[in-house]
Amino acid sequence: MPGMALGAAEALVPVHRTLARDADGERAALEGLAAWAGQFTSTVSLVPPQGLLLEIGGSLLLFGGLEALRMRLHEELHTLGYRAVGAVAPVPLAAVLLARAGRTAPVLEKTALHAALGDLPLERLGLDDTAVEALRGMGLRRLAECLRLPRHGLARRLGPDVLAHLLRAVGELPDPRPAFVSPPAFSRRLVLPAEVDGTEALLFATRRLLLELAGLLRARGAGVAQLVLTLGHRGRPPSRLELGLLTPSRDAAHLLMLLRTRLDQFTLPAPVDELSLDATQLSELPDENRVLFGEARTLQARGEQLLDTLRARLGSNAVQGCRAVADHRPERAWRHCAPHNASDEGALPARRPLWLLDTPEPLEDVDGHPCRKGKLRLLSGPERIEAGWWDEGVTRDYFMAEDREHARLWIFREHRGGQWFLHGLFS
Amino acid sequence: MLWLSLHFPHLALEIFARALSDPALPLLVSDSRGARQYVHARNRAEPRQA
Repeated sequence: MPGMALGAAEALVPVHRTLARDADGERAALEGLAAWAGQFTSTVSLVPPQGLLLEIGGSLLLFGGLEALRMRLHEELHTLGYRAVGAVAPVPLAAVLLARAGRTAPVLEKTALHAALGDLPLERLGLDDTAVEALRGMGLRRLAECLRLPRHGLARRLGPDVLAHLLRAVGELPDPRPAFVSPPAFSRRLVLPAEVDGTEALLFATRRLLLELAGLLRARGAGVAQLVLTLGHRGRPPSRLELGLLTPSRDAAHLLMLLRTRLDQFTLPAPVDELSLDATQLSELPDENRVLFGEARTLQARGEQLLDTLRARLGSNAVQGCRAVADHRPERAWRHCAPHNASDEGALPARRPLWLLDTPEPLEDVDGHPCRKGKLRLLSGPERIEAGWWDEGVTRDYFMAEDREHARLWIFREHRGGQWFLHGLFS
Repeated sequence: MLWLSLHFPHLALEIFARALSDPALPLLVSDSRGARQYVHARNRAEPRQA
């Protein structure tokens, strides 16, 4: 059916969803793939409109050999939603021509190039139509026939560029390629061929973008701490979901789980016809060395992932850390902070209850003894706290006490007036 | 040096199809040359029986 008039095709298969070709989208996809491929090699080149070149000579050992690398590439491309034909050769143009011709058997030596490429027809050599016609006019059909002709005669009749192209294909001329430079940020857009109004369908497309992002991050030794997922609706303003992480990550599964949590709580105002994923700030996140006793790091990573999950579910302001502040007054001896930023300004004082009441609760006083559901038994104290003369000064004697149910309480007696208060509960 | 070339013959279609969780949705990508519109690529669909 490719090449058929559109009207005829639509009459034959009316259920098709017809989309106009998007050359800019293809170019963006190719660049996205090049950035993703940077995790396998430091040298990637674009071969528009449908190809990439990867210099893999230095990567074979790291990835377990040629076949293992090729298999991994194809598997990961499949998870991204792409299928590629891969060909290997010692010179770039030969690899490109072999891949376009669907010849996937690797050619590892330059001396084998003539044999591997010689029977390629003129139309498969990447020449323009004029050059192909001229060669045909000379009675030539394949590359090997062209290379048998005297070089200077071929250059005179067709121009030096055509000859240089043919010689580059067989490795007789150098073929330098501009290296693709990965962008400083990630921004990818997916147009949905059919409108989507379900979370699972959205997550399917989002996962593919996240896998692309993860590849780019692995290539750059980076992670992201902020992501924006934008959902486009026809005729309406887009919906924007922001995701903040406590520590940078490039774990696509973790990022997807967080976005799933956000999407589960989000009510779509209309079906989605496109989505985009943006990560404008990439943070350095080097690979970790493997350690013999890695459990502590694993637990820390799990803790960070749990905090990210809670923040995604409850909102970033709902999950806070505490840090100690250098002040003797219990109300002022701590403050909220970001969960991963809980370094203390001052040393923690003597034993303090985990649960401190917002406002101290007055206690009944019976014959000078504090009472709460009965008379309290004083276990330790007093601890005199006298501070804050410059703003809200306090002068209190603190005691640890126990009630009839053996709950441990933190109580104090005002120095001025002698009133008892409950200020905290020990666990 | 050793070069691996990756050729994406279905790129024009895959940039749309990869967003779909339902691979069975028939898609057709059209292109134009002058005034003529033609089928550039399609995924799958059975022609209507006469």
